[in-house]
Amino acid sequence: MGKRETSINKSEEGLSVISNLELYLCPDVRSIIKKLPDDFKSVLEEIRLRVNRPLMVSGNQKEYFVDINGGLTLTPVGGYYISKENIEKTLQFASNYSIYSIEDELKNGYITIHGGHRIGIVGKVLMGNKGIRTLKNFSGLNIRVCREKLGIASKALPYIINSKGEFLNTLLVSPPQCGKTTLLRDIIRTISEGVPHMNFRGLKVGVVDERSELGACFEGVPQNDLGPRTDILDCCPKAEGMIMLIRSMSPQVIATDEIGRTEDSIAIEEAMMAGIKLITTVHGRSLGDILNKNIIGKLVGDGVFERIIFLSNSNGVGTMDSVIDGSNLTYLYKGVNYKDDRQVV
Amino acid sequence: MLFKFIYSIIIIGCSSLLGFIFANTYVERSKLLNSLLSTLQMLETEIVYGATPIPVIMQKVGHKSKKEIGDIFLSAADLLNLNLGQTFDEIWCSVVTQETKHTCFNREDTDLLLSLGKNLGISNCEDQMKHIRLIQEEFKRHYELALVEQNKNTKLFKNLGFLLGMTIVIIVL
Repeated sequence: MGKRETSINKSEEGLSVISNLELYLCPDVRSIIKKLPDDFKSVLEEIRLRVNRPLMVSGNQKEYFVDINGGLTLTPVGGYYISKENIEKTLQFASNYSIYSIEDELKNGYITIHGGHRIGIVGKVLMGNKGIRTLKNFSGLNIRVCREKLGIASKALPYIINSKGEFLNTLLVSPPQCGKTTLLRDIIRTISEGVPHMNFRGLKVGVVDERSELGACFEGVPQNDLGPRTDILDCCPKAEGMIMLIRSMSPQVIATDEIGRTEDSIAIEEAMMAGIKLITTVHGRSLGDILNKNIIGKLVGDGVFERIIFLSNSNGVGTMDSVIDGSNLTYLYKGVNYKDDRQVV
Repeated sequence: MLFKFIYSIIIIGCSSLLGFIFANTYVERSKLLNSLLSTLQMLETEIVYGATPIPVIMQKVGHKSKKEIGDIFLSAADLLNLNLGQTFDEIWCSVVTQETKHTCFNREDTDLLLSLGKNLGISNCEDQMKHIRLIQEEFKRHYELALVEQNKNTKLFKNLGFLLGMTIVIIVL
């Protein structure tokens, strides 16, 4: 009964997320998305609008074309074809009728809207003296639904907090779309709030959110709950952001997404010297894979990360496959979906 | 005799008042156009220097402008905040058509105001500035013409009102 109630609540939550998102769609697409089956709406992850191509949605790792009545099909025949007007109107609503106010975001190719949802934009790129000047003649939008998954960090906590109640430097590794950022977000919230049953008091967390994915700030206000002791530097380059946070906010933990550049490792070294703990993510499939990467491989080899957590979507997004002790590269946990090809090298 | 005198005063008074009302429309139009130029300047500043979103600008500028102009902006802001799925141009068209009915704007002024909505918010800052400045230039031209008309017609209508009253009094009484 309890499980059923939880799933009903989750489904209602999923539906309300989509009904808020619908307000940013042009009326034609809005009416179609409204007609999608409720059970699919609650797992909807992406809505794709491409000029003169059928409307597509994805969820539960499957992609569908959508007809005018909200029916899902696997073939484009009968799908609702998106016009240029659909895209322009949607962008008008998403930018709050003010394209000029999202000029800087357009250079990066995406905007974040209220609720933390992200809209990827493609079109004609105009170059200026300092690189990309702006985008125009928009030809496609990818609307990514933002859903916080509160509590998914609970499985990882025993591995990243030691018996003395100290947080350990952690690296989250997975291929794209396997829940690295979602897990990182929930870990940030949890360590910021504290975990009383593990005798872990909340820590001051500084987040460098280069791509606005963690806090999903909209007009400066984080749309995702990152905990009461969290300071967010939004849209800030990671290396500069880490240094800024160390100097200005005295964080106990620094969290950032997807490191990999030379300057990132310099900033990490500075954070280590200041006694600050670190949690970050990187794209990868196996330990061998990340050890082969220049910057992150050296950091892992040097034992900077005390815990390395591998994720996959084998049992739903954010499935914890294995946990490695970074100091001696031995396995602390092997999930049911753990595969032998992820050998320690 | 006393009644005739009173009727004459009333007739002359009413016709003079009519003349004043007609004359005043020219004065009011110039004042409105002048105020609209300041409003457009505020609009440009908010867009170019503040990158403020249109619904917020509409509220801000609406409160700072002359009532007749402010009402257009405030009504647009209300409709934009309702999120009914209308584009800015659609909302602007309906609001301008509705709110300018009872103002001294003439057809050309209303058309120019409508054309503002076609481009507002749909391009980058540089383009927005160009569009607003173009509309401003047009309104400046309207304002200068309105001043010429005002100087030409105000006195004319005031005198005409009085003289019409006198004529009626002479002919009828």
